[in-house]
Amino acid sequence: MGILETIRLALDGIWLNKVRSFLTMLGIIIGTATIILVVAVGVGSKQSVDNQFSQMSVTTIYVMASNTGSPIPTKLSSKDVAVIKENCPSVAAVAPQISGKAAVSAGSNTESVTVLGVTEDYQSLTNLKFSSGSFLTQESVTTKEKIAVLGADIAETLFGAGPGEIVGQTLNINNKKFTVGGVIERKGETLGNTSIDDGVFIPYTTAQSYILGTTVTPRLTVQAKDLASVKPALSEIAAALREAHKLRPNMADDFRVMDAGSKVGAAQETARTMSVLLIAIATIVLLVGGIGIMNVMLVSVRERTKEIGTRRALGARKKDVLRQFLFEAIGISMFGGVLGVGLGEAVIPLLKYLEIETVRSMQGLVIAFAFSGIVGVFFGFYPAKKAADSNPIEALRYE
Amino acid sequence: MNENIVQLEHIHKEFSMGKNTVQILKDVNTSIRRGEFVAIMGASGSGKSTLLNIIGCLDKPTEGTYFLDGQRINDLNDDELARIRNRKLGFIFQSFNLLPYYTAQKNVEVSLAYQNRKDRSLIAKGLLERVGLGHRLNHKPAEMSGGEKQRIAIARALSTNPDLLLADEPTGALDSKSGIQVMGLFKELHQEGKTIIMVTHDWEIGEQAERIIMFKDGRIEYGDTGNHSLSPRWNLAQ
Ligand SMILES: Nc1ncnc2c1ncn2[C@@H]1O[C@H](COP(=O)(O)OP(=O)(O)OP(=O)(O)O)[C@@H](O)[C@H]1O
Ligand SMILES: [Mg+2]
Repeated sequence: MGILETIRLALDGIWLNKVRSFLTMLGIIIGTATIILVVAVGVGSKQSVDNQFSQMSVTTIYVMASNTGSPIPTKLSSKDVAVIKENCPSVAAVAPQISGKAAVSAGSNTESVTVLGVTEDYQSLTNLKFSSGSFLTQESVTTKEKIAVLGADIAETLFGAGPGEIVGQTLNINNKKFTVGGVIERKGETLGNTSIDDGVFIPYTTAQSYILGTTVTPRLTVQAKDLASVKPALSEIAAALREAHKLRPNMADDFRVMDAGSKVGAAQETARTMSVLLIAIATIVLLVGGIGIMNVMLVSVRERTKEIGTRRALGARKKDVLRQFLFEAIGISMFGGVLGVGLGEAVIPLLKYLEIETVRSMQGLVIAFAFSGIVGVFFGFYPAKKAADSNPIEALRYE
Repeated sequence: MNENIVQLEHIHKEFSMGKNTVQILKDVNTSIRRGEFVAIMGASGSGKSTLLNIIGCLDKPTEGTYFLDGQRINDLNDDELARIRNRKLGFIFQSFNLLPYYTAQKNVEVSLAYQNRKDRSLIAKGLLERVGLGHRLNHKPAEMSGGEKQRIAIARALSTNPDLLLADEPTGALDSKSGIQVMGLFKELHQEGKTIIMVTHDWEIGEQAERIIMFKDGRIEYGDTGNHSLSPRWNLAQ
């Protein structure tokens, strides 16, 4: 019997036992749907990590106070900006930043918002673009001007109006009157735990004098000259700060230095770990589905012993019987694969409601189909072999 | 073409049952000529089905030589045996052995499907007409009587136009009226030149064959040569 003919025979077998075939498929359906989701979530989270850090230059370095609970209070301050600028040849730019919560109100809206005190360099260091207006100037920093630049989301929340209408309006921060100088284009990105879109940016000096006080430890954003200077910059910064803070050799750093590159790497690592975990789950589900197929096929072979004997008497070769049952298993598995892919694709949009990033991909489809086929071959072979090797006389005598 | 379609020489068959081996066939010698209609009879357990399975290339003798249509069967491999069963032999079973989920027509097509024949639905329809079931092509076995099922099985056995029909108790599960119908078909086929070997318990059925081979304890008691001047009844009287 030819292959096509045998495939038809196998499809007949699946179709004539619709209900059983479908129940057998369930494991495969769930398995392939899981694969589709896994790949969608995996690709999605990788992409969101990439997006999150795409605008962050890998040459960016952060200097922060050491973790709370360290034995000595940090001496990190805005003076260190000058220290780094003078002592670190691998560094191109440095900008300080302090942040804290403050009550911000415009009209009748009041919000508790993260207020960031920054200098004019902050714009170029974080690649800010403006929908309207412009960023703080050096002059506004030196004159402690009461001017605020708003993230896209907070601007909308406070004013409920388009960016063009907001510039020039006034708002109150901790009951001090500020003028809006600009609205930043939506970034959709977070920096640490602060989203730029939710931030209110005011001059560093203004923040120290009127809003946050001088006791808040700043965070420094440092730009290395190029990728190759990141490493030397890290040690230069550490050395310069240790000297400025007068730390003895046996004392620990009272600050932390972190480069964006390692942050990106850590996030990608997390995303990858998640993918691996999900793939492991999908594999287990498929394995269980495959064992289900093997079980049902074994029962089916037993039930159809007489059919097998009859077919052998009528001229079926062992390989014809083997193929018939193997194709049946593969068919069940592949149909399950198709339905599973459909189910997975149907569930993907639902994940959006759970705010899980997903991306549809060809990759997922191919993996899902390949897996379902392989499962069919692997778990269908043993029952099919058993069918082919059954003794035709005993099979004919079987009642 | 060989005059003897079946030639059995010193056929022995043993089955091992745990440590012991039981001898079921003990030196069976006979030949069946092309076009003959032979009934194999004998007590239950005497080895009739075992012999028919060997003739049907479903089983191999432990010892002895079997020629089918002049071809030595002993040396053939599994695939070659399957091919011979498919092309040269037609099987009719006591319990019909139809595939339950196929229609009458599909059942008749099964052997032809193993030959990849494209004209099989035409052949199947023609044969079902011939056995008087032209109006029931699309019925499944469960919807049919025993006699009808056996006629489907006969149509199936004829589908590949084989030289030799092998029937193990073809009327064993049928009422007498259906049995007569089936025997009518066998006689027709015999007249058309088919060779038929039929195992039966029933004397009334066996007597309708040209020759009776009487089996006892794995040996042919009588009837091992086709002496056509002698009727089965004469043989019986011996
Ligand atoms: N595979 C086997 N293994 C062991 N013994 C077997 C095997 N096949 C048949 N036998 C034994 O061989 C003997 C003959 O069996 P066979 O089926 O040929 O008898 P039979 O003449 O057809 O009987 P019946 O008229 O009841 O059908 C029986 O005793 C049976 O138990
Ligand atoms: Mg028998």
